[in-house]
Amino acid sequence: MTNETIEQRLNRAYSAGFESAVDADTFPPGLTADVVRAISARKNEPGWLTDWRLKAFAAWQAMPTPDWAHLHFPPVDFQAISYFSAPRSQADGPRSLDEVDPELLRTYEKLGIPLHERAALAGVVGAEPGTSSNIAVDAVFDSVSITTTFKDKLAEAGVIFCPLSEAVHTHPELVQKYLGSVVPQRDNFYAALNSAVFSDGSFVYIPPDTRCPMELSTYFRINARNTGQFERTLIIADRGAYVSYLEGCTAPMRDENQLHAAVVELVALEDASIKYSTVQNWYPGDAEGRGGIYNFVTKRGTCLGKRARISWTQVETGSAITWKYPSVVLRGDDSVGEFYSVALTNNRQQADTGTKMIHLGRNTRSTIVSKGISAGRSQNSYRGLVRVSPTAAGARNHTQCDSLLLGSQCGAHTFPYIEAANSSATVEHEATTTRVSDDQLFLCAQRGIDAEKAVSMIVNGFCREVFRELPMEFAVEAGKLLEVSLEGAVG
Amino acid sequence: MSLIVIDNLQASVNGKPILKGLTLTIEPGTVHAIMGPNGSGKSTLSHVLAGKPGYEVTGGSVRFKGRDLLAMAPEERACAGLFLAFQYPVEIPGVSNMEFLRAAAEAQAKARGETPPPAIDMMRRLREIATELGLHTDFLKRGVNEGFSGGEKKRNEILQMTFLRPALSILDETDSGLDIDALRIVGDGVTRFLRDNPTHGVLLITHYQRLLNHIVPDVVHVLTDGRIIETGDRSLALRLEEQGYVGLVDRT
Amino acid sequence: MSAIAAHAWLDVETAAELRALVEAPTAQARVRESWKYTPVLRGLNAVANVAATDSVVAGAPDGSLRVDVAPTASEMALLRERACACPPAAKLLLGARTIDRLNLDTSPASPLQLRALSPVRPLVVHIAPTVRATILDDVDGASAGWLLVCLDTAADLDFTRVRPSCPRDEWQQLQFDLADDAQLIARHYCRGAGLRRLDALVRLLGRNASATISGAWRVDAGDRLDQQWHVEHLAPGTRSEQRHHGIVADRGHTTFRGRIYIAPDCPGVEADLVNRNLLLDPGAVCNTKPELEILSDDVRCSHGATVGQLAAESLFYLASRGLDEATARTLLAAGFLNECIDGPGAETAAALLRTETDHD
Repeated sequence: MTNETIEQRLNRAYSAGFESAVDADTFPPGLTADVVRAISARKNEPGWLTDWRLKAFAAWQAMPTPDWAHLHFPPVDFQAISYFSAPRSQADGPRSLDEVDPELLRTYEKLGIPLHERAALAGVVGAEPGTSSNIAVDAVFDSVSITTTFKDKLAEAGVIFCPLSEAVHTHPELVQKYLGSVVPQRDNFYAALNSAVFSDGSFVYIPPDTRCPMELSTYFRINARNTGQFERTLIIADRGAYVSYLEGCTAPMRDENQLHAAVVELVALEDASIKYSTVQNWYPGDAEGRGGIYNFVTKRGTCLGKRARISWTQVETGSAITWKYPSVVLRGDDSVGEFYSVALTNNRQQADTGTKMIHLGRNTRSTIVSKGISAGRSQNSYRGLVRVSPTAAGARNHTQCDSLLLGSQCGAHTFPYIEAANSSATVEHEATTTRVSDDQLFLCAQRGIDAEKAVSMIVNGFCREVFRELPMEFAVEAGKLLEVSLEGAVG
Repeated sequence: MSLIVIDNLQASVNGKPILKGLTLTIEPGTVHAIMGPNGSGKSTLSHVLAGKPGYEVTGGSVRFKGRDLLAMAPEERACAGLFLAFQYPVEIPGVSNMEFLRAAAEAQAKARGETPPPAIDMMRRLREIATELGLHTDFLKRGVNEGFSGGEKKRNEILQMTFLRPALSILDETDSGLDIDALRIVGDGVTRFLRDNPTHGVLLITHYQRLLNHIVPDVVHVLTDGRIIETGDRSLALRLEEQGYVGLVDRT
Repeated sequence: MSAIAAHAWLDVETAAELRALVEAPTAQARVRESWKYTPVLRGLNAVANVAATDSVVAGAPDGSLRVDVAPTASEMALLRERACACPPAAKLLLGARTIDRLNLDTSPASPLQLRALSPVRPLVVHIAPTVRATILDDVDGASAGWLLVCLDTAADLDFTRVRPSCPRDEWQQLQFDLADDAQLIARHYCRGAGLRRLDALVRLLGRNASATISGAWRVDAGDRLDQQWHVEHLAPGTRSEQRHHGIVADRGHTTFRGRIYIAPDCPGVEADLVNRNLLLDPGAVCNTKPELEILSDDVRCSHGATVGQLAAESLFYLASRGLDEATARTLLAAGFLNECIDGPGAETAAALLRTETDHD
């Protein structure tokens, strides 16, 4: 039960690895302005959105791929990727569960989606969504949202929760006003790519002074082979509104590397509050690092109004490469930004993840808690920016950044950037690096707890501050996920 | 059957022999005390019995409840009913006492082929024990030994022992760093444990006689230079206090 | 002095690499990162058009200092390695044909004083095994400079660098290489300059080598101070401890990057870094970037950085004892810096960093 044996046992099969064989309608690989136009046409988009996409495409073509992260991987061939894929026969949906592709149903079963929700998710005509759950699920199955549940219940509260592609038609004024307002088309290489070819994603609008009556949830999965995923999610909380949004991911096992470049934009107006939680468990590649998802995500929220609050919580255990910095622009006075993160890397996984807190308004506050766990031959980096602009009088930040090493061949890195340009700002950053000590393992063994369970307990303890921020359903899932990720780790 | 039979046990640390042929048998329902000066091998004995890595057994044998103890992994020893109250309990940040003990109880029950008691019963039992040991029940929610005072850490060891009900408990210098009141609480805790579990055994490892005022031993051994040089009853401990180890060693 | 053709000692590839670095200084991500907050062209310009002068070391034993001499192969390897990571160093090396060299084979009886640092040649100091030395570097007015100190086995160096305020731009390079059991104490006390850029690198190459580094600075007016402190743990059992306190007043601008690197297979390393900063005036700017890159697991490592103001409760405590606010602020600011000031240059440093008032 020494640290050496932890390392030896750090190998496991990917338990969420499956691939469902659903008929897909897929574009041939390659990206040109014509492909961008074709995507827009397939979605019957208005002209302004086609132009918006083309502008993004032009910007993307002129941009170099970012090279500053602590990540090493072969260059991605963007012309070898197919940029559109939609499940077929959506128009004439199945009449009952018997008509639904059994592969799809099995997929839901593995994902643990409750039985009563499956019919609705599978687009069965006339299926009533279940009423027992208080989570609304919008399944993004490859590129097109198959269905949306709980719509009526949400509509009663005035909440709009639908695929972005639908919102473009039903709420064009909101989409046009806010799309790209937080992450502009030319923000960065991957965001520009997403802006040009985004497939679909969720759209959420919470009207003024409304508390969204349930947690909103989306399961993202990557299904069709060689199909890059380019979700785009836009969440707007109007004055005094509150919403908690959950995003969970699993992915099929496969050999080729897959690119994923999502964009999430959050807008919180005065006194509004958005809580966005992610549990990410995409296929990380095999023990030698073959296969696995490339996850280049741009997530950013703007606290547009006074006293707005945006909170990101993430548990990242999957993907071969993670490049992700959920950020908050604190524009409104007295607004609050939070980032709670657990990132676990094993085998040959590489993660470069963290946050940006941009303080613009007066008395804005931000909190960053990052827990990195490195095992195997993985590389795990925290990269965070805290910027206090001259206008942000009285701004405050506290950052706690801890790394736990499980094994001698992995790396744990911390790259915080603190930029303070206001003399009344207070910024505090602390970071530590530790490992699971042999003494801790021995104490557990002496009480009859085997090393695997002991490491899992210690790791969960190490992450407690972050798990506490997750909604209950996710906290359980997150704990399980870490346990699974460390399964067979020790013995 | 004897609880534990240690026969001519020899062990080294980094190639340096520490235990040089230690022989000791503990019967169910008895309390043994091992006393000895610093460096005599007291803590090495407790670590070797519990299976702590870094100790090399170079000779002899240990049978625990008839099984070959030295062939067992540390957690197997624990599940078989061997408990070590550590001299320096380690901190495990973020893992609550409650959670830790529940995991231990479940693992041990599973190893014995028993069904672990429901969580609610465990919690009730832990609250009772904590109260008996003068610990606030909030204590159970705190991380294992995280930020505990020296006395709290030691009481936590006794709490774990009481809860897990091991067949044989080894108390490694549990008295060190305790003030008089804490010593009495710990002593009472152990005595109560023995009263409730009359067939279980305890091995006290201590430098001083004072713990023996609270936990009365049936047998007292004196350990110097890796061997037991004298065995007697309670009076041996008192004699030791008067004459010191040097006097005793000189005489033998 | 032997006449050596320009670049004769640089192989063609290295010369080409250095030239590329000078011509397109931020083509590499690594260089962009280290010049993120410093205008690299100003750094390069500080190396340009400076008159050639020799390094001067007061108190050096007779014959220990030789100026304008050819570098040895091992010296060149060291200089080349560094130059490939730093554009101004690349530029200086491209222009240099020789080095200045100080060999300390016995422990000097009294502290050495570095009076002048050549702006066109590196000064390489070799400290022989078990030799103990104290060096005070209070060179005034060098726009460029490159000091490389190699501490052999169990050598011991107490080094203090003091720099007063100056209006010019300057770029300087400081490197310490430590062999087994070598010990370094390095102190750095300074004011700002037009642009004052320091690239400091401490490499703990031998087992159980240790470095204790402290820094204190006050940057005011429109001055700028940009520092890079890289501490690399390249052997088992090495230790480093760093504490840097900075005050930024007026329209001062500071950048601090403190990078700790722990190579694979280096058990038993301990490394800590603290950087605290006070912003005293509305126009002041402070960037700080403490970094950890850890590739060994049996290590204990931490860093912390803060940016803030003088504590209101401390100001109130002094006020309750009758001090006016200006005096209280001056006192507290001085106390903040004094936490990092000690050693032979302490008095000079404290005087250098003192000001009449620390207004708001």
